[in-house]
Amino acid sequence: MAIIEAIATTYLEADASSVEFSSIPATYEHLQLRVNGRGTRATDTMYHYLQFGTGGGAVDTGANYAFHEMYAYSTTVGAVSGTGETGIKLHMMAAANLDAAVYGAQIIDILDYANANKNTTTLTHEGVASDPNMYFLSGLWDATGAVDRIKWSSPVGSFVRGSEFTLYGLKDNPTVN
Amino acid sequence: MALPAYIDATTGAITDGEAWVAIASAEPDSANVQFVSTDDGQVGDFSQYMDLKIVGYVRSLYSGVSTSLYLNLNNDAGSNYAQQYLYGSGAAVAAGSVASTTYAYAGWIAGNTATANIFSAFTVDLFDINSGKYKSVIAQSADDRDGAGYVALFTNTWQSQAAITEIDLTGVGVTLLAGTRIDLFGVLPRMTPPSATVTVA
Repeated sequence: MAIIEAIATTYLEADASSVEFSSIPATYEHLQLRVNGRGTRATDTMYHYLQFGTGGGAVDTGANYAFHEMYAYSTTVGAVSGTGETGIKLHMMAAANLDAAVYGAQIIDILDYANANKNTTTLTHEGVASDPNMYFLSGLWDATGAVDRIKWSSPVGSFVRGSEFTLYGLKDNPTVN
Repeated sequence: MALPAYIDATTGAITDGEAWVAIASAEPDSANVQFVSTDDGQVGDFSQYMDLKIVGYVRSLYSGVSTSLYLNLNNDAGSNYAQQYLYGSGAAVAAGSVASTTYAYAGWIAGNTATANIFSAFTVDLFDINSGKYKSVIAQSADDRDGAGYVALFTNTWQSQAAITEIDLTGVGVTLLAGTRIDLFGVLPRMTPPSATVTVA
């Protein structure tokens, strides 16, 4: 029995305004998203939002998300937080001002996603060294629904061809439950 | 000749089994750890993976308490790497970047004058390694020396569109101490129809 399984991969063949995984099986303990992406925003990284859905419905677009982040822009360090957001704010999509071959990296861990009694907290490490920038952040979906839908979208651009998104499921050891 | 586990030995069909594949492990006592693709269609062939992941626990014979661990790809020692780093040391936090240098940062590692038996932990993720993109590399390292040390995050770009076929990890100018352990994993994408619905709009 596999412990880490690839649930879905999408490799964009054309620019897209959103990428969504739905009907995510509840058969895993944790999820991990691995993304190598680029955006159409002219400068800076293309910030974007991660939203969740539950119960087979659409993603929650209400002001039910929060985040805390530490960041580094070259020698500048700082921290930012937000609450009442309409998605978990992420950053790493390389922007159009960078060399066309530059994409950003993003790993998002979503723990105990299928538990319907806990809010959903995420842990993300992302960045684009060529920009340069890097973020380490937490995200919160202030809802207890089991996550079965995940969506990336941005109000400032699209994800460009060649961006790659893969969702992994991590199983637990059934003998210790 | 062993087939990769995701190929059914009877039918030859591709399946989706374990997404993380253990490629190789090293327990070096030299300055350099090298992983090279076997290019033979077997487990060690990098060309079948979407990403690679390195997990290490290292200490060096560096004469001080801590030194750097560099990463080079495809034996490229040219000024083709960009870095962004962020680290904490005691109560201090700092960051820096380099637009063009000769290596990617994988972490900071304990030196020979650190307290005995202290090793440093690091992980490295290399993204979309067979694409025509510049390669993104992110790393995390923990170099805790009981009251001193560094915790650090890194992003790197290898400014090459070549597929990754070789990884070299180097303790800068020093030998990695016996007891060091470094493991390389291949991360497969979903290869059969997905078990979730994918919508691209």
